Amino acid sequence: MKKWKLTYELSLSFSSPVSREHYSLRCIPDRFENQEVTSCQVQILPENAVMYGKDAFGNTVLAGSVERPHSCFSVDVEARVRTQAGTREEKKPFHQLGMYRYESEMTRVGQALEAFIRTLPPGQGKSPWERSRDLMYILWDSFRYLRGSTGVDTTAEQAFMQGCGVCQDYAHILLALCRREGMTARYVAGAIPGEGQTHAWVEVWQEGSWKGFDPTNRQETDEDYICFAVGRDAHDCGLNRGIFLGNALQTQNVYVRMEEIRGGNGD
Amino acid sequence: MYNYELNSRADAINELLARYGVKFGIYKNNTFKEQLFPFDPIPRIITREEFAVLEKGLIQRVDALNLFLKDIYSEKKIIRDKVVPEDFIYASSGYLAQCEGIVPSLGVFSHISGIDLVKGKNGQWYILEDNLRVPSGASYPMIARELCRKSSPSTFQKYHLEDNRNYAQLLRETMDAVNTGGINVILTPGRYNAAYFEHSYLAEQTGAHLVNGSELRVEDDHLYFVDYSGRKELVGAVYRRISDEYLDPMNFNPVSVIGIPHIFDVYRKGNVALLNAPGNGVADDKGIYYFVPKMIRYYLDQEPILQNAPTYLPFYEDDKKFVLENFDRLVLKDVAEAGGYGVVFADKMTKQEKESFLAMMEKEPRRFIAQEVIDFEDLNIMDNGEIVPRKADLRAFVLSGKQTRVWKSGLTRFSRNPDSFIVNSSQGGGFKDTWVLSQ
Repeated sequence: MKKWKLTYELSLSFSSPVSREHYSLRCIPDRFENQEVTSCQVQILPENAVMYGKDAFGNTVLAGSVERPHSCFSVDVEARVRTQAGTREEKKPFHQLGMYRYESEMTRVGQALEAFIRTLPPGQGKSPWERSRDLMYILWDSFRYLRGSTGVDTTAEQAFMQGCGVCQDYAHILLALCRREGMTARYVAGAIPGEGQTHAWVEVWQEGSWKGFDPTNRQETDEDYICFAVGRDAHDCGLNRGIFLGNALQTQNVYVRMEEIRGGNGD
Repeated sequence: MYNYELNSRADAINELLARYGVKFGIYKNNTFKEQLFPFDPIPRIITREEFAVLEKGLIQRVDALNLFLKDIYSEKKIIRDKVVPEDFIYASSGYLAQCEGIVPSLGVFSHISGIDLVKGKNGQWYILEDNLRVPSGASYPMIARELCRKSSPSTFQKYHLEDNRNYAQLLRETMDAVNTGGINVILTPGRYNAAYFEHSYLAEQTGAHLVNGSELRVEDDHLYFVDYSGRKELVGAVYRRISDEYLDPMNFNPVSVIGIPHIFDVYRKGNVALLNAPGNGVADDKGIYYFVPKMIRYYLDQEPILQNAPTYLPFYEDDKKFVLENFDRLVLKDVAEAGGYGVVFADKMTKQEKESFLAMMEKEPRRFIAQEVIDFEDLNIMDNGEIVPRKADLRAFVLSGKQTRVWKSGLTRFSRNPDSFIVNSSQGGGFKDTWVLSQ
């Protein structure tokens, strides 16, 4: 078991004041099997009445609106989380998980991926986890990490066509490959130790449990991963989604820090 | 049983309909065109006995469809029991994963269902399609009947027929039944919508507020109507006349400007009713149509009272074989298209079209259904003072709240073109009143 201090900071600044801003946030670590949140503080500015809810994928969503004119919007999350290595049990039976077996908007296979799929070695006789691991290795050899080369709406097909992308793109492509072979696979948005951006990876279902694969780092997930949200693809896991009324340019900054708490202090 | 007095007044009635703004608008090639929806004075007449069978069959069908929707968005027993293959759920554009786990007020998903039927020359009725999203059209026969009554009161003394002016009452009772506390509103995308006349007319008739998205606001987990003076009123039921994808930019299409941010979150919590429920498209897909008789047997343990048009799914090997062997006499439908588009008659295809279609069907078998062409009954219409036969269908309206009820009327649409089987109003047809005899 490991203990973590997790910080998530989002700040939006607008070139001129905007009004009526609506937001939905999934940027708080959620309770999952092997992941326990011992404390969590959220501050949203300007102050407003926050609504708590769950979405269709079981993620906690904080939602609200800021009506009066403002030129900054910020979210600060500070949480203490305990993690454990291992797979996560899924309570829903196989027949209720169909939505994770089919192409979603961001993981649709086009010509480029289709051609790539034809070059894959056959996976007969392998379990979903063995096969996903193989696919993860193959993808890692065929795709390059390049910060800033894709955007939030880049699909698996588009990213694969250009040959490079970020963690979101790695995850989308691996999902596309797994689902094409009939596997049940979902997208996970979360964090890994260090400072910087949020992270994304894939979980594959097998006989009642999910196992994590991080294609960006070519490894299976362990207790060094904290989940924020799960879904079919990145669109379901929007960590911060917002719209506003006003004619302004928006500058967004996200800062994430995940540091281990060693020993008995700070819990 | 023609009514010559009504016939002679058709022009006057059409003029009144135009003055009331009874129009039908369509988008085609990126331009919005509003056209009059021509009214034909010769009613479709359905006897009391015949309607009793339709009524029973429609209630049965809509009840099964509602049970299906509830099941699909929660337990999915019908998939587990292999009655419907999951391909037909998850590859359907009407399935919305966002709706997973939601059980709406009273468990009803399709409150207002528009079921399209045709009557074959053999006297048998067939279901053509189910419309469970935002079916429109009830207002046309409502207002036409109203005007006909004014224009020829004696006609309605002579014939004993069911009064169809109770639609507003049925609709209001349906809204009230699922209302979670607060007022009823009808949400319209605005006057450029094809059915704007209907939105305003139904609001007037039911006493619900006619609102647009900017007049509704989510606060403290509830939905409010905010009027021009800033006064807030709690909303308990929204009869929304905008499609799922535009309903809430925070949960669906993020660029929607006609939707209400967070309305879906409030709905998920059970704090407002949406009529019809989002996600219903998964049950009125042309591919799912094939499975409706199976749903009736599965959920209700009954034999279907009303028949589907004989339908084949190339998805199944046996059906594919049949389609290939009988190709020239079938009608092919693309499951993704609606409104009479994406429908082709095999015998009208050129050799080249046929080849490319078969290649497409081979590649994406789930995308198409094939049906027998039903030789459906002609109804007489008045065409420049002459009575001529034309193809016509019937949209029956079924309302589900505390119980499921069928409106004793319906929208009869006909094709203006003598050679066309497609009666959809977005393709330039006209409409008739539908009389259900009361004795």
